[in-house]
Amino acid sequence: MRVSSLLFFGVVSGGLCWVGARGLGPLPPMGPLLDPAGGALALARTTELPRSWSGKIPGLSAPVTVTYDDRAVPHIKATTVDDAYRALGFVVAHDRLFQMELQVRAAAGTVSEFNEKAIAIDTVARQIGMGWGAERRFALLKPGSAAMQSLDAYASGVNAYIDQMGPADLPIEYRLINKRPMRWQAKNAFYFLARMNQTLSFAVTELNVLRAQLLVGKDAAEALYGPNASIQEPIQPNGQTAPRFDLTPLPPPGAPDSSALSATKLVALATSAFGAFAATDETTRQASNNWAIAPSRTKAGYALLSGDPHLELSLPSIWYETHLTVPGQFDTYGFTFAGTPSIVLGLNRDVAWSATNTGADVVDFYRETVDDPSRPTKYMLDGTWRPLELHEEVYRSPSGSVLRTDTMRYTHRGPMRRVADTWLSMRWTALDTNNVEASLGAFQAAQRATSVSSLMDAMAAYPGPAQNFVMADRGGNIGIRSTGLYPVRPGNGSGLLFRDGSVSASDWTGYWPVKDYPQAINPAQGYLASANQQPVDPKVRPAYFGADWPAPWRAMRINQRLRAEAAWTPTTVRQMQVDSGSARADFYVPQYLEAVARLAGAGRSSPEIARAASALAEWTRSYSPNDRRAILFENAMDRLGPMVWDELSTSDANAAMRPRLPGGMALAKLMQQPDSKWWDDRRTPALETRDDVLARALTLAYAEVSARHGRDSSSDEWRWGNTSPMKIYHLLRLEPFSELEVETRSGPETIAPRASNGTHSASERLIVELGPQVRAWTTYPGGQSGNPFSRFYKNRIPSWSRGKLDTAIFADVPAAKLISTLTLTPGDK
Amino acid sequence: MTAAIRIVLLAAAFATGALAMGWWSLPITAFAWGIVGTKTNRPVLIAAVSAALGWGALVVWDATGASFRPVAGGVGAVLRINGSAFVELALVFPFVLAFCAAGAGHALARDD
Repeated sequence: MRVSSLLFFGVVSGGLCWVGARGLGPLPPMGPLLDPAGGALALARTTELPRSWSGKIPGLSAPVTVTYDDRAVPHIKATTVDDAYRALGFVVAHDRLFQMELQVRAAAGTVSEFNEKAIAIDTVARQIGMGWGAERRFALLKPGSAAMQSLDAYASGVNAYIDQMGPADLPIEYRLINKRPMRWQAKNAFYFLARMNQTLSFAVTELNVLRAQLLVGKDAAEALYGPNASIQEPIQPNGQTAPRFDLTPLPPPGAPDSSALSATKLVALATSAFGAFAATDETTRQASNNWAIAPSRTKAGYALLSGDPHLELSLPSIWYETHLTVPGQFDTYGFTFAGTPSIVLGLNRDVAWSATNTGADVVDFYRETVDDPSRPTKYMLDGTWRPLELHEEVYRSPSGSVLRTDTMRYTHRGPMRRVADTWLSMRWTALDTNNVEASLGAFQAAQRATSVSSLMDAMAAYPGPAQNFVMADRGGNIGIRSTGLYPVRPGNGSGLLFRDGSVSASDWTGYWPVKDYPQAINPAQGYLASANQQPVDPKVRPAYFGADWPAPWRAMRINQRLRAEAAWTPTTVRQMQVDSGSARADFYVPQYLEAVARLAGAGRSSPEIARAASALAEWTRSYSPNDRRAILFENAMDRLGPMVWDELSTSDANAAMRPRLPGGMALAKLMQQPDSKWWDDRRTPALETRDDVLARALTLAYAEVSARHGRDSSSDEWRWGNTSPMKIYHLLRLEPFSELEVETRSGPETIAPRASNGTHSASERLIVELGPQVRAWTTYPGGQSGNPFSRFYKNRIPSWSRGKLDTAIFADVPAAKLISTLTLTPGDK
Repeated sequence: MTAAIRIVLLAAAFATGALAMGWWSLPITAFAWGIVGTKTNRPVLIAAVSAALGWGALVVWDATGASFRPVAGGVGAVLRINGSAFVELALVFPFVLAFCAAGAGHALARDD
């Protein structure tokens, strides 16, 4: 034996084995990745769906046939409801296994077990109690209930797929992080729903009012971020035929309100403690549209329904398209979430439904009195000490080592965190235990609905995240209802306060009765629409429902078009889904041009101002990819906010103390007040007016766009499609698996919006015609497969970007469209 | 037995090992060969060539898949290399690892 040789070869092969097993620096473990039998390259053999294949699922009562059409949409035909959910679990796991697990981990706060850099995200998830809420809600499901059975069935389908997966079937993401899929549990659906609640309903509306109050006083703050929108185009028709502008002047910026300091600091700290700061911003980026048109306004005389939920775009998409048939039970088609045993948005043989986010205020904070401020174990309620529920949170790294521990405390309201010297608890409808069965049960019941009326009944108990469900049926009925649990608060009912947690009188006293939900059926106007605007005109019902509503530009455009046309067809609805016009641009462009004209009339213009205005005047106010003026307008609008609201800028280093700039509605209102103090830029000695600020924003925008994209404003450099593409990232933000240059007919606040620098837009589109034979058209920016190498990974992005929809095969898949048949049979437990 | 036959048999062993046990079978097989094949001519080099051939055969099998190029290109891009470099890596890695593991086995078994 040669010791030197042994040492050399031993050390080098040990090193290679280490790189193979554990990776090195940014390199993932190379052994399982390079292994040609079951590694990355082996994916090439398993990427495409086989013409015919089979699987076994324990508990299946009879064979289930799944046929895949030429878009890889599975059509599941089962003899029992549970078998249908077993099969659904199997096929979704086949296509989206990694996504399913990542979504659950995001809610459970265990993404750090994939990558320890995710511990910040995990911390937020745990501090707002998502896992705690999911567990307690799941625990309330009755064993043997339909909801529990469906979750068990779905889980058995997912796990059956995991058990039958060959080495080459393991999704690439698991290979890159060197993990195996976790076993699927029935409760995971509740984690996923908690995550959706965080995305769609975790907004701390208290925040901006208090932050702004500190800087510009109470009156101004409430006017900027208050509970009522200054442009009313509500979801529940109010009898108007045009938007109603509240022309009440905005109060000028007042003196800083130091009395708000303690409350503001509390909010700022609370947002840090509960991770709400990021969540609040995230919630404001979510949007959606839907509308239903009565037969009286359609060419064919059948009701039409349109829906396009706007979420963060991702690859794979959040949606999975499927067709579920259980003879005698339901025959339903549409979109499900990966991990949810039900069609969530879609249609059956009689009705169709879609949803937009309601955005009601469903989160409140309470100041608690505790026994020991440093390590409390009890909290005071009505003069009695009550025990706190304590949970030890353990954050783990990919290797399983403990990264951090944290003790979470819960009152009967929800999670409690220390904020400076105060203990604050939080109540959020998503953590409450009301209507648990309906979390999924509402969607499952919707699959069986036969009319708008029965669909409304099916959805009535749906707890949230609150959604504006629009619906239409074959009988020609249309309806809409903002459905979800809305708290009834004591006192004036406002959700913009911190309440005293030591008395139960501060608690919510119940939830709104369903009859009070914003809603309408078969209105005289012949259509219904929602686009995240304030649901009810406060003149109709003044009760507090939320605050800081987004500007209703999309709703205005949608209603404007629905009012104008009386012979709608599926084709014209499709065209409207990607209408590149903008109510916002229609409102603001004339304001810019008139301001410049007034300055010119007063002899205060300049060649630079005239050139910029001339360029803007050429704009058709369309966000089509070939447009070369939208970039100028958007640059000007980006500048306008900070110039107008300079009073709200603060040098406070704590980001949580800075108010978000007011939305478009406050600015629209201010346009009517040319000499308001808000227009003056405090940073300059001059006293600016509206016209000065508009002209300056436009001129600076023109200069910057010219500098960045060239002086030739007719060149491709100025094309909207070039300057503002949509960006669809892979779940792990891996650029090779992303699609980052997607041209669309989308702009900020167009019907198909482009939000958050191009990462948010229509996550799916659905059109349904409720004729004697229900017909549907669908698309979404992605594809059925989560495998980046599959031809069904992003095959639908090109048609989605052009606003085209595919005809849904809501029938047996014809032979010409059939690409694969999966036969599922009962397997051993 | 000629070296060529040894190489073919050993390559089959590497391929079978990968199919049955995954990539860990490679250093184990090579190490074992380094010990049992110590009396043969150039056992370390034979192990390395056989490993590359065995894994290479599996790569050829993978290449029959319709999406071989996209897979190689995509995974390569994640690793910031091009697709063909990733395929080459899938041959170089077994060569080097088998060379070293067989070398260690050989050094352990040699009685000089």
